[in-house]
Amino acid sequence: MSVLRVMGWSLGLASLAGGALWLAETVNPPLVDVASAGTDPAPSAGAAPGLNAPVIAAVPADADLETRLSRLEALMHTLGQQLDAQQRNASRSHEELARLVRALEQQRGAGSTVASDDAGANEEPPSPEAEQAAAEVRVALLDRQARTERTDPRWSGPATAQIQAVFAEGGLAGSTLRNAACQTTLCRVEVDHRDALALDRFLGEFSARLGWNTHSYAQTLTHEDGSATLVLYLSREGYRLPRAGA
Amino acid sequence: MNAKQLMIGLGFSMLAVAGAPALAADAKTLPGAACQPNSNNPTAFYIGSNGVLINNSDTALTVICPIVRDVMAANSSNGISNAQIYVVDNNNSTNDPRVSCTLESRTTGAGLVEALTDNSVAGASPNVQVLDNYTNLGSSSEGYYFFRCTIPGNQTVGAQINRSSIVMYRWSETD
Repeated sequence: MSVLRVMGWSLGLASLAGGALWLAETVNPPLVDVASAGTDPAPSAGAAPGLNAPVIAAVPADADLETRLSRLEALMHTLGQQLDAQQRNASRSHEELARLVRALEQQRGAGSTVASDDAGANEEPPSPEAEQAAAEVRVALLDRQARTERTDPRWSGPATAQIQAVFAEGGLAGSTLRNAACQTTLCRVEVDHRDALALDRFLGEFSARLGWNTHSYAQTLTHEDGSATLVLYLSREGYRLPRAGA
Repeated sequence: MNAKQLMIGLGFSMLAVAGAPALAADAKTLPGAACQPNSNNPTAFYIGSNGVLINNSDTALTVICPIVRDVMAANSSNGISNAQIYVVDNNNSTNDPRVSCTLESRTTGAGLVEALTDNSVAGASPNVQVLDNYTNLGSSSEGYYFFRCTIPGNQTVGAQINRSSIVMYRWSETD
């Protein structure tokens, strides 16, 4: 049982008890009050010894008792209704409290999402110039590695042949292999593409045709006539391409 | 420490937990149905009632599978910490075509940051296999990620047509 419900019940029962006491005092005042209300009357003739007349006079008649009982019942009924109303109020307060708690939790959740998004919003995307500069750094690093790395004869030859074989199969229409060279941990591949469609087809299918599990990087140079040259760097399986600052 | 102090401490701890943003390392998944054909004239494919994207033609289908990016900041070490793609390679016909998926990181200008490629194993099987050679993919601030997958075409064996598919994919970002 909730605290609010217990409080409601307590309040209602206290009101009921208070109301009953008030009613009892109203409809049946204490004998002492009756006695103090007037002078001591003389004992009535025929009165039993030890009994005063006012005491006898305070005893109501049957009809009067019934009236008072009816009033008491009506009062009890009213108090019962008030108690029900208070219970309903307490229940509504409880629901309202639960609703507020839920709203607070949702607000807190939304606040954390906003905070997370804000953190991202503070990040500015790099400018095209910055992107270009980063790409040039990356390509220079990869080209340096491709030039300076020694050749692993166990892998270099077969890997280069595999790349050449993909083009020899003829499935990459519009793409022509210009050069392929593999060293110990990476290959550098230059491919000319007739147009953007051929380049897109190459990007979609070359990996599947080659079948290597590889780390790769590529840079595309688009020419004025719509053709493009792609320089593709592929790592040997189990290796990763070098990164600037790594 | 009395009970009141303990309750206050517990209350603050709960507030701190409730107020913390979602962990960036939380993994996310999408069904193969999220993938889109790479071409404006794709070979036939369909989405199964189980959310799997299935190549329904005799030739290879290339699809792009988008990845939701949560962590927008970028530095030399963050990006995708790991990713997996669940595929079915049910074709071992001539040259044994594989399901080949490349996880790409691109800049806001569509420039390639870097890519990682993994392929299904040789042979044909209706069982799901996991391609998972996708760890520590770099990122560019505000850029985007996706998988690009090539799915082999159907292989007819007797009266049966074996189809290959993308079942789902999963990724985790680095904070």
